[in-house]
Amino acid sequence: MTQSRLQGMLWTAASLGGFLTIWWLVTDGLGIANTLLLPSPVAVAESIVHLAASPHLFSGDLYGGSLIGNVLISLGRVLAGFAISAVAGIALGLLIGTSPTLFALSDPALQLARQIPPISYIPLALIWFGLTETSIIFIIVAGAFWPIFLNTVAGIQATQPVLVRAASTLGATRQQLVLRVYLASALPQIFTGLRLSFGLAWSAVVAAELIGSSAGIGYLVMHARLIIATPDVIAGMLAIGAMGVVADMAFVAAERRIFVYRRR
Amino acid sequence: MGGTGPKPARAAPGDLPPVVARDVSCVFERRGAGAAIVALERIKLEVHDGEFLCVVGPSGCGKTTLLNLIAGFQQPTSGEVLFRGRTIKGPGAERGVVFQEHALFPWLTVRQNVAFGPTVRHLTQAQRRELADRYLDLVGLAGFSDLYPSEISGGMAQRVAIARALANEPEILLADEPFGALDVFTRTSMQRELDQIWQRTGKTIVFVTHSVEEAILLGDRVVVMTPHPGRIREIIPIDLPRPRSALDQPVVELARTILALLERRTEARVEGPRAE
Repeated sequence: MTQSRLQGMLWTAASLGGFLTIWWLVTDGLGIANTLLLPSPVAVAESIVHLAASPHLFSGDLYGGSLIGNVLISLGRVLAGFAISAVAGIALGLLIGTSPTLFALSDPALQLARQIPPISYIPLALIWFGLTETSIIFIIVAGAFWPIFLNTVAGIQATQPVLVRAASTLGATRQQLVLRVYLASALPQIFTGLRLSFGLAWSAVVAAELIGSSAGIGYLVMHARLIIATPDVIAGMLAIGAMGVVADMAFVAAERRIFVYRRR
Repeated sequence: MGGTGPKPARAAPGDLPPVVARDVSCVFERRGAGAAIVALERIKLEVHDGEFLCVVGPSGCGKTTLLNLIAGFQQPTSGEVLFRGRTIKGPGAERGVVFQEHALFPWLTVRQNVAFGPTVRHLTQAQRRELADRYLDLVGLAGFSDLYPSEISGGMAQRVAIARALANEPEILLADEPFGALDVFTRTSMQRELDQIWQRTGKTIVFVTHSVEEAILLGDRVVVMTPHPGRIREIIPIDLPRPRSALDQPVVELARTILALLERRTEARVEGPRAE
């Protein structure tokens, strides 16, 4: 256990170390790349420290706040959009997953709708809501809703019929069947949907902020581009990636705690 | 077996028989050109209070369909199945079912599984626990209550399934080949155990099996069914002391009789009707 854990950490260190070494060699080390276009890891690290260390989270001349402040603004939007997606996706998924009629009626239209990428909702969002928070949340929901909803439907439909029969012979009512059997049985798959959705929500917020916002990590990256602060662009991108990794790790950890029965 | 529920709505035994099948037929339409399958044809059956009734026959004889009708999972094409005089319209807590596969909820522990019925009937926490523990004790699994179904063996899981059905205190227990998926050794010990549980609880049991031997070992009466169409060939009372062994001479002889009944039926089908 500790042996394999140590090994895992060594591989992680080797992987990140190798990546940084190649990056450094290409830039400062051997001077192959133009550092105005591709700054060295050292410059990016300085940029991260500089942007993150600012005491003002939500104010400042350059990006309207520090790196952390802008990440927090984006995270707030992601959480809002994710929460709406989760509630709507699970509720609608339960409804449609447990009703063959509703499923047959809605499936063709939904198959079309799910193929529309969230960023293509941006023009519509701008027409409907203008440059507002609502627009950004709308775009996040347009992306994050689908994995939750579709995984809920699929999870519900994969419920073993014999479990439903067993519960009904034990006296479960329709509502109890939905909550205690269908939902309980679908929960692992719903969780997979939540995890996928969070990743999509994070992409969607950055896309939305690139175009229509004056705050957030997407705005920071876009504004850094305008003033050709390439290290800041990359610093922002790394922050986006790091947030994704942290969120995913949190989901995996939660999954292991919640679904104890699958691990044993 | 005293009820723990607030007021179990059960007719006094001896009133109306727990289950009556009146001229029950069940036909499944096949899609396309094929002829319809007659799973059951004009079945007449009365289950008595407190008896252990076994239904035996080869696959396709309609024994599972018959059980599904009593459980309320299906409706007959014609005729009716009554529970205490009332037509069965769907599943109900008064008719507990043990399935061939254990059908335990994988996300619940053994104790939570057994307490499922009492939970959905909104009994108090203390009552749920008391019932779950009592019935887990009855099937000899008191020490396993906090494990998940994936952590126990197939035989144990089936015992939990029996405990779960009994903990809901149904009036009648329906079992659909519950030991069919178990190995021979586990199966033998489960038969002995169910025999004891039945003697201790006095529960009415309808037990479907394709094993003639199992039917004779457990049943007060054995309903012998034949396929195409599914019919009751004969109902044979078993007046033998318990516990019975597969090696007892009367058991062996009864098995021979029942097998002969089933074989004669099969030959008749192959050769066409014969003049008796």
